[in-house]
Amino acid sequence: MKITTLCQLYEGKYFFISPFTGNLCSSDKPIETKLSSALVANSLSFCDNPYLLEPIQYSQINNIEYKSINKLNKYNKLFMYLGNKRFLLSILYSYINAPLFKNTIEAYDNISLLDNHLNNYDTLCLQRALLAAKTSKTFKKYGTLFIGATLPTWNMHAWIIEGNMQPDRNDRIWIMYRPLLAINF
Amino acid sequence: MYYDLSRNHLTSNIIGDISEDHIRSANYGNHFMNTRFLVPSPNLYLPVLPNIYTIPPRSSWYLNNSKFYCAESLKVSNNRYNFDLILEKLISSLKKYNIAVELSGGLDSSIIIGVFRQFGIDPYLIGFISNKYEFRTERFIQSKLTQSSSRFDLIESESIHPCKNLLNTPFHQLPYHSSLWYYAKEEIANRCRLNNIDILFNGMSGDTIFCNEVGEGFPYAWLSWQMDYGWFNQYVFSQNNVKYLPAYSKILAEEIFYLRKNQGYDAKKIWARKYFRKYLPSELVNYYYKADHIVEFLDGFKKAYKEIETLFYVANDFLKSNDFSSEQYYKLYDQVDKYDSEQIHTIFSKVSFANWIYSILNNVKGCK
Repeated sequence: MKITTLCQLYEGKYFFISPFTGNLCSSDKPIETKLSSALVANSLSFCDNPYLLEPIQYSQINNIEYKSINKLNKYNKLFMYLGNKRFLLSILYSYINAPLFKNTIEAYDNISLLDNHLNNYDTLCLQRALLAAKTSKTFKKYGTLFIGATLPTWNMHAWIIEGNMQPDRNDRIWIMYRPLLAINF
Repeated sequence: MYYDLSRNHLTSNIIGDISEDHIRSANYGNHFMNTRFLVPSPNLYLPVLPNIYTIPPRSSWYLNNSKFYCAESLKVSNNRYNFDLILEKLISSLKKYNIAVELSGGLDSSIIIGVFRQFGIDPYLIGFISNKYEFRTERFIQSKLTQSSSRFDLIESESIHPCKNLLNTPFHQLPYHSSLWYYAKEEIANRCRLNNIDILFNGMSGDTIFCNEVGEGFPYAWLSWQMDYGWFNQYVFSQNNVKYLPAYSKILAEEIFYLRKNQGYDAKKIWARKYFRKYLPSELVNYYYKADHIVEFLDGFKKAYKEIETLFYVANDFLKSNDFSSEQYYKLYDQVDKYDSEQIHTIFSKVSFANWIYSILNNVKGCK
């Protein structure tokens, strides 16, 4: 697993997200940013140029087996329990892959149907992204999970870029956030 | 226009008629509630000054037992026309004017620009361009549309941000949140005047027309007066001899009503993207990104903190109200970082109320 801090200068201050706590921090001095892999660099270039992404075509959501829904619910409950405060633990739990879906689009499609995600789309972005990363068969190879902020507010958001797609068809607001932390498995 | 219920008369000048004490009795709580309604229609409006109700431009009302009722019919004509034919006729009738369209880089204004171009008008494009990372998709569309335009003017939004120059906001009759964007619109109006623009069309009301659920009947929210806030026309554009209008006239709204009849809520404006695809850059058809301009507002609020502090100081001194104490100001300032969407209304309503008080004290004789 690789966590990359992406420090950004805004109005004379350097902003970054702590890889340990997930908190948004600012500093007068820059934090060194080293892109750990071509995958991060590639995903980051899609964040910078959202119109280069491949739009997701509509497809019917594949029904998953009852057993898989149960598993998805179980993982989801644990992410809810861990919450934003146990940031590193949440990432570690996500890292333990439990593939249920053939790709991250399918993972997001099914997660978005879970009750708590259906009704809190704006607030549970981190838990949703971590659950998608955990349950997708393709995230490890092609995906980068970003956490970003919109400045000058300290409002944060988490999203995934996988290959040349942003796999969450319901997320229209990710473009409003500057990527400040990248996570690869 | 305004209606004074206590004297039963319509007036365009309410401040001239009332005393300083009356202004001191202005109800901030009501203004806070009104800020939630974009258009101050008298049936929903809670009077800020006792018994004074706002009457939006181009609307008609009747009064019964001190209550206002909209007198406009929601009936629509049964005659259906070819939509392109309507657009062609409407645009032909505008060819004698020098036309401009606000260029935001979003869907609504891009549709208007595309339609004008299709039917033979190359409008002057004017708008703000932001260098903020968050608005890179808007910049992309702005660049694409200006590349094929013979006349355009993109103003750096960093230099003319929301809340700038608030201390010079023109005197206005009642508090209204549009006043916080006065200076930005003043710059647009100035440049339109210098370019001899007669009418500047805006993309306002695109959210209402393209997103709202449409049932069997013509939606009340689609009446023409609901699409025009009036404030900018009254206090900014009319002084520059420019008309600032929404692009959706009654006849267009009726046709869109028939086309969208019985459609559910369409947050991504998928219908509009598909229906107007031939007028749009392909990116706006294939992607549903949503920019949030509130970020620019909050940025502007922070940049204008000294001016806003002055507004609060003056309002507090005049009203002797805790709502505008320095503690309240700092509390509001802290909310900007937290980006609590509920607090946005508080910011809009408090700053616009203080701005209104300041504009009266600064401009009306006898009020100092």
